[in-house]
Parts: sequence; structure tokens; C-alpha cells
Amino acid sequence: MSDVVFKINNLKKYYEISLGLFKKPKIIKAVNDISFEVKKGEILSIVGESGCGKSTTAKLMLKIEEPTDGTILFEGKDITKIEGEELREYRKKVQIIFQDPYSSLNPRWKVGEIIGEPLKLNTKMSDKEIKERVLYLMEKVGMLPEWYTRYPHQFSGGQRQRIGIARALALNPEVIVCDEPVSALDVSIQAQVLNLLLDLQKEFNLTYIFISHDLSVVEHISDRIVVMYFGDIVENADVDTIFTHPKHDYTKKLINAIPVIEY
Amino acid sequence: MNLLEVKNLKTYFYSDAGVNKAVNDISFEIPKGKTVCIVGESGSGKSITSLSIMGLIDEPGKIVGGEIIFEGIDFLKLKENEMRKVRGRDVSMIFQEPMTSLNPSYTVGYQIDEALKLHQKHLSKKERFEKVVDSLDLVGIPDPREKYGEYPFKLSGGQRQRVMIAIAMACEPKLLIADEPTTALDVTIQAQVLDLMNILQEKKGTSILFITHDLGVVSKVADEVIVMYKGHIVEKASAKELFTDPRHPYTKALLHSIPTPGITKRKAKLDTVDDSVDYLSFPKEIR
Repeated sequence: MSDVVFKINNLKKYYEISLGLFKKPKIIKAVNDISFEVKKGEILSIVGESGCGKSTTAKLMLKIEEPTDGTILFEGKDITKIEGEELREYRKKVQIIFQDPYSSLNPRWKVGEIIGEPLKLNTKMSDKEIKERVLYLMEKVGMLPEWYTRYPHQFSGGQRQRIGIARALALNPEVIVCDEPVSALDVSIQAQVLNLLLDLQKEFNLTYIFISHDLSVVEHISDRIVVMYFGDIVENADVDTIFTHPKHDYTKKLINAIPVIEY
Repeated sequence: MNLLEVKNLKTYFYSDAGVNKAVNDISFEIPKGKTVCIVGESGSGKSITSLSIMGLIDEPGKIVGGEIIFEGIDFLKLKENEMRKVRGRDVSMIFQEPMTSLNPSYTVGYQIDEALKLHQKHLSKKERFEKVVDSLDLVGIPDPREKYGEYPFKLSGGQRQRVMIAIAMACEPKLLIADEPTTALDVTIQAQVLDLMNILQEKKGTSILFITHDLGVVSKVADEVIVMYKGHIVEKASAKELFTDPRHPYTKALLHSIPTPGITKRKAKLDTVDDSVDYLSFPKEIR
């Protein structure tokens, strides 16, 4: 099927923890045999609590970590085996937005350099073309052109997250992995960034893999939700089904734990 | 009956760049046995308000005016050694970060015992041990006797926050200040901690001042809500009034910016707090 971007089969990631010289190492099954698909143009959220394996799954898909076993098919090709030029091409197509806009931007670089870096490394564009593209991206994420020469510390958390988003967009990716992109932000700023992410998704026909522990945000933004618990996928369904007819006990527990305003 | 009355409190911070009026003339009351929530964004002055009550404002900050009256006594008129007796005994505080607020080199039991040692000198060592075990049990730590000698790194985030609550509750304070106590926790753990605080309040009649930016949490715990914006109180109302009939434009913007299952339309644009609006120009809504 052509509309499937990612097909993940029996993915496993185990970590060994040494308990001492003569003891058997303890094996942590961070991701324990999971399979799911990501369709083109959808927003798929992976939810769960700390330690459930959601971030490890994202890292495996971004090829930051190597899986213990299993395959990750991206547009039909197993990316767990690729390297060199192929890997470079893959990295252009799949980008990431990080959780913490305070530590994920180089404080010594100007905004223009941060957003333009992927273009400098991966394309043959001239400096002038790069600057034009950066200014275009800045406009798209709602930043003023005169901020081009400012440093990250001159911005608030929400503005910094916009810098991260512009950088992720620079190479025209197909998929963006959003790792808790709003959890470090104030509620009011969170709304601005969510609005921006939804706008950009429509405009550039992006596929998002949205990692989050905040179910209210997930309910707002997702098409489909994968619920993880101790390295396993316990439920995988569209957003309506998850919120109106959750099947698994853990999903029910998660939904009931959301502090909702009820009056 | 009010346990605490804050009147015209002003806490300023001085720097070369000028004066930052972090808390700019605010007044409110905390009734006995009730929970008052302060909500606001970063920089609204909500944490500085709680630190002012605890007498923990340090250079370059200074309380420049107002009164903090606790059972008839103005905290701002107390000397440091008198204030030290109040802290932990009458008023205690739970901090946001359970991972960093405990001392890693002392056992959990020792750290709870410390508060008792300071404030309940009439107790014997044995009595204190039993009290510490009871308080660990009260906050829902399994096997409290064994956990007494455990170091913080062996506990999960939720358990550490429970230990923080046990320390804060050890001397049965009349006022508990909780500064974002659940922000660093997972949702299911957050629900447990909030339940625990409600139960403790029912059992002991403690008043709680709860600082948070999460309006969902507010609706779970608050009797009264104070909305702060840039050092001012822009709205004060009962929790029910605030959520059903918010009046100040800033409160409305804040409420509508939160995705709420069943209320906000999925994938629709969320309202945002507008940087270009001067929310302080609207009349304050104090009910």
C-alpha cells in the first residue's frame, strides 16, 4: 500500500544493565515486540507514562538507536540496515522537534544559522538562497525577519520552539517526530504552538508522530493513538474509539486520570 | 474564619536594569480547612507570593510593603529566629521537583524525623520513629517500616513526592503551601497525589495554598481561585464561578487556550493569550 509511510514489525529494543562482575546482567525490555503502521498525512500519537518505551520507539524510528530485533519499513525500505548516502537521504525526510526548547538550540548561534544549518549541510544552495529560505521558514512559523540575527536566549520558550520547528521544516521533510513539543511550555503558549503545528501539517501535507503524555493535547491533535505500557502496545485505534470506547484497562485508567474541568 | 490574610503585599526584585515588581500589591485570604489555588503563567508572581509567605525571599528580592497575617500575627514583623519556628510547624511547603528537593545522602526516615526533632522536642526517639512510620503509611508508601531506612534514589518520582508531603505534614501544619507539586509527575501518579492531599485535608483540617498553571488540576482541588497576571491579581472567585462564569478577559483567554476533551473542538484553532493585549487595563474581577 502506498499510503503507508512507516510499517513497524516486531520491533524490540533491550538494554542490558550490569549488576556487577559475576552477576548475570539484567535485561530491560524498553520496547518489547511492537508492530504498527503510520499512514501518510496522519497525526499518530504515541502515549504512555515515563518508562513505557514511547521515546525509545521514536529514537529507533529516527535511527538514533539501533533495534535489538525487528524491522522498520519506511516507504517499503527497511531503514534498520541502511547507512551512508541512503541514511543521509532518510534523515532529510524524517525530522524531529525536541521537547526542551531551552537545551536543544545552540546558545552561541544566531537564529538564522540554527535554521539554516540543515540546508548548509544537505543541499548545494548558495548562502543567498539559504538566507531566503530561512526567512521564508521564519515567516511560516510566525517569526519576524529582524529576528534573523538574534540569539536563542533573547526568546521565550514558545518562540524558541518556533525556531526548532522552522529548523525541522528546512529540508521539506515528509515526517516530523514531535517529542513532547509542548510539555515544557506554559498553557497559553502551548495553544499557540499546537495551532502552528496543525496549520503547518495542512499546508505542507506532513505526517506527524506525536509523542506525549498529555492526553488532553493528544485528544485535540491526533487522528490515531497508540497506547504503550511497559514496552508493549496495549491499544492502537483512532482517537474517537480510544476516548469513547477504550478497550484496555490501562487506557481507561489513563483517561480517567486526566484532570478535566467539570462544572 | 480566615487562617491567613495577605494584605497589599509587594515583593520587588532589584537589579541594574531597574525594579521588577514581581508581586505588585495583592490581597487575599485563605479560610481554615479550604484550598486556595493561585494560577498564572511563568512570571506571573505566583511562586514569589508563596515564597513571601514562607519568608524565603532573598537578595536581590525584598518585601517592600504589606502584611501577612497568620492567626493574628504579622509574619513580616517576626525576626528570623521566630520565623524559623513557624516554618515547618505552622506553615510548610512542598516543592515542585521531588527529584531534587530531597537530600540524596540521608535516608527518607531521617529527613522526615528532622522536622519532628526541630519542632516537637517533647517526643522521645522511639515516639518519633513511630510517628515517622505513621506518616509514611498515611501518604501511602508501602512497607513504611522498611522504607524508613531507604535512600531517595531508590524511590520513584511519585514516592519521592509522597515523602515530601510526609515531611511537610509531619508536624501537622495549619497551612500547607504546595508549589506545582504534581507538575513533574505522570498523570496517574498525579491523580494519586491529588487524592492524597484531599484526604489529608479532610483528616487534619489543613488549609492548602496550591500554586499551579494546570487548570484541570485546579478544578480537582480548589475551593477558591486566584488568577495572577504580571504580579497582579486579575480575578478572584470560587472555583465554580471561575469555570462557569469567568469574567476577566485574561481568565477567559487562559481557559480557552487549553484543549479539553469534549469541550474544545478537535483540531480546531485554540484561543491564545494575546501578547498585544494589555490585560491589566481591564477592571479587576474580585468576587
